[in-house]
Amino acid sequence: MKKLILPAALVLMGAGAAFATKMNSGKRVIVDGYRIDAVSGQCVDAEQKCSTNLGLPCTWSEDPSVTLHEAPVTPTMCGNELFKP
Amino acid sequence: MRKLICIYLLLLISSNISAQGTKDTLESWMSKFYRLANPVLSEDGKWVAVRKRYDIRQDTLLVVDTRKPNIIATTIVLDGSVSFLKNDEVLVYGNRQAEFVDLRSGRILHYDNVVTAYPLSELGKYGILTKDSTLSIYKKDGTLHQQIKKVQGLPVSGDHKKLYVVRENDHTYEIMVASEEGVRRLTSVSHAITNLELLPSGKQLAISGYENGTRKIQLTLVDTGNGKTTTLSKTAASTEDFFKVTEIQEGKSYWIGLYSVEKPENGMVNIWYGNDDNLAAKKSGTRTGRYWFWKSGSDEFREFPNDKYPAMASLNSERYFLAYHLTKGHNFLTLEPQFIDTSVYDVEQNTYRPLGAFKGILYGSPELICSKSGRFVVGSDDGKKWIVLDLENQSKYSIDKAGFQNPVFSSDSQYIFFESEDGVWKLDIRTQILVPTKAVQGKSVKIVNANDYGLLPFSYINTRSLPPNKPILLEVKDRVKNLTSFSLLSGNTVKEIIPFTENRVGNIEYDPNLETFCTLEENYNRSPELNLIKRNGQRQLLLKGSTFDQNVSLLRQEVIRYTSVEGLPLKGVLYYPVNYSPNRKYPMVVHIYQIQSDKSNEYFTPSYNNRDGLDIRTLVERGYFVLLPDTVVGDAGPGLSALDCVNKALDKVSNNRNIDVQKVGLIGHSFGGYETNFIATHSDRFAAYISGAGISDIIRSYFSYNYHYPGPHYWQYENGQVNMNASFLEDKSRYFRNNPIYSAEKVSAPILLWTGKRDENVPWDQTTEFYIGLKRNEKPVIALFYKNGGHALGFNSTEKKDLYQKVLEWWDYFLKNWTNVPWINKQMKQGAL
Repeated sequence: MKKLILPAALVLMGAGAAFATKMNSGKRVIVDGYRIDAVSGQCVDAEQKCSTNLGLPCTWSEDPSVTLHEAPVTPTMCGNELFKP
Repeated sequence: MRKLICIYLLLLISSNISAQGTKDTLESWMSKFYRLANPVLSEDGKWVAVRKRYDIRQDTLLVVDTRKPNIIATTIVLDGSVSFLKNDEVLVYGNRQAEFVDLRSGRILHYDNVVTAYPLSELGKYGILTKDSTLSIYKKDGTLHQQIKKVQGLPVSGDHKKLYVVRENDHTYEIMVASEEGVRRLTSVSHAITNLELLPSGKQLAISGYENGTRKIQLTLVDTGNGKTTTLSKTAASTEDFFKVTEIQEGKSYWIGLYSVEKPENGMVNIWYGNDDNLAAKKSGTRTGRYWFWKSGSDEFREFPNDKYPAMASLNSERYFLAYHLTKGHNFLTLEPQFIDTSVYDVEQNTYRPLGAFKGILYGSPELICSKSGRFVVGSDDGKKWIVLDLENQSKYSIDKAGFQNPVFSSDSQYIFFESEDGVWKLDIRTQILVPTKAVQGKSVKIVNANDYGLLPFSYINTRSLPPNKPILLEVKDRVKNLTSFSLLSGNTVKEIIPFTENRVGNIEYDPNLETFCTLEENYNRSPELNLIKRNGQRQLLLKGSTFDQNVSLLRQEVIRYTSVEGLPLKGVLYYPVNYSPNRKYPMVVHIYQIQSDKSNEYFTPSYNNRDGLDIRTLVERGYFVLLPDTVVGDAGPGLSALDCVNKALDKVSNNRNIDVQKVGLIGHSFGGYETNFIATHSDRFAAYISGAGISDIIRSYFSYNYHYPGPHYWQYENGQVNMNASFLEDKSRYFRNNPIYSAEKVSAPILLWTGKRDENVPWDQTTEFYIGLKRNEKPVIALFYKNGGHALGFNSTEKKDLYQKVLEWWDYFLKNWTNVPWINKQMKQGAL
């Protein structure tokens, strides 16, 4: 069977039908989560995704007592608290 | 354990036992549950360390030899970071202690007064920085190898081979490096150092700080090879200004930003203008920046102009940069500003070429993904489809297909891979040919092993590429059946590592060569188990789950299916009471918050620190059915759609004769709190409600300034979670129809409201408003206002425990008729208050 190869401009919305059937869990805005590092006092990337949707706090997978925040305002101050994606 | 639960239940219902006694028993029972968490795999695949995570502590680390499964080789009682060294050793550090364990001999070396520790695995050594500012480097037999005193700040490590240290010596600051060759002085600087950072390629150290007592801020870049320094010195607006440096093409050049934050106005009057596009500044202040370009080895920093655009960002090119406005034209229909006017700035020609707008697709801010070569950039001008920019040829083209996320460049920058809900797609950048890879078409796929590097702080401008000469590790989800698998994609070959499983696959850890993988897998009736999987698919159980929770396998669950008005297939997860008898009727608690059926394979332990007000495990142990129905926002709006979804789920489970439909309660928090408020005003199917931190007046919320995400809140309604997809002006009647407060008089069952008075996300006066609306209509309501609570209540806080107890008592009161609860009787029994 010939391999499906289409120039980007020619790929039409046909396959988009598959996307339409996906479960819509509401609009999500994903953001990176940051935390204050206990040793350095710096706001560091927790390498975890969080959301700006209202809900449960986004907590650090290494320690669930730590809530994750938006990107730092200054090196030692993280942004607003984030929520679970 | 069953005996323990019985004792606990007995205590909970006994009026002769004090509240404190009941609480202690409950806590004692909860404290015995644990789950395995956060596995760490050694590079050679020989060892795995995994934490035992209890409700409020996780200080036990189990180390397993992968050649001897189901045997714990070593137990280390210390919470903190875990690093394996090269030859069967592990270093654990945290809580001011460190332990170095030789896993072959079992020898443990313990250190106190520890600030932090450094595994130097390539050298077979480790460093310990102690409170007295001494950095000691030890050999793996525990003998002291080297020591540096008067260490300032925190040393930084590169490739586990070197440690860079600042040492103060008579008001000069020496930069030392400890390596295989010993300790040597790299260079010294005269300014104090507040920040020391090793840039990712390891070629330069960026050190910055202020001259004593002045606002003169200095950045010195130190060549780690020859110690050559190049310093940029500026006068800062305040001593809170800071430098940020990012690499271009692995250290060929560098982009430098100097940031200032101007505090919000705090004068006699604060003036707000209708044409202000930076309303976040009213709470957070205004961030401004100056930007420089530095070519490695040169003596000069070249400042970017700011006459046309106030901000400049790296695109990982040595010649082309993004010129943009931070907030210009922000209409607050999205949370974050989009880039509505950008240009490519040519640093050689000092010219600008207009690029147009960029918007975010998955992230709130515009996403610009750059190739390692620095030539290509992928972004979106409409927030739906991606465009590919060729910076060198000054050309661009659009990918005429929506639904792609998280583009990743191949390591040679010739291809771009896209994640999607329909497999992984591959674009040949030169020919513009886009094809679905053979990997798992029709399924949701994520690329696990992409390397990300942020090119601009506070943004999503990154390089993202695959590691060279390695397969692509894919996480594949079948969302309909809630199955997960992992595969390796090499060229056109797909190798399944973990076949589709109904289990939730938590962490997946893997060695650098993608030969050995370890996972934690769990389900609603199985606590997380540690598994080892080889690339050839060979699999072995390394460690069974919780030895305490023997009864988890007896839990019973059923998944029901229904469709929304728009025909969207939805599910509900029904948990059965423990010791369920088909001859009995049981009360049921229904919890709502958007889509929940993806949690059907989550292992739950009883805990105060579960979702506020919902402890599924305790409820089923105490004889409740628990139903988690999916809700979605359809054309009718968020409240009416949730009502429809919940009604359909209830219709489905009403076939179950063991559910007492007269004794069903509804609970939700946050968006689920709004849904609960709304359903309470439109339903007669519930005997009681609990609503936490929920909006009760969506129109007041729409027109509010949100102090959590500073700015007008209408974005959340028009384009965010509330999903109205129309402004208030465009569809007032739908806003009216979905507003709980307008129908407060129709609430037909008692409702418990709670909120945190520090909640700036859903302000607590939304709860007050609903309480007042209900009071005005003489409805049974109790509202809890937690003085120190936020949008959620704090981890292990007294507030969280108080709410937990009250929620259980509320359900018992209204769903089990256990009416000896004084604080509820004050509302429910006439004259009791």
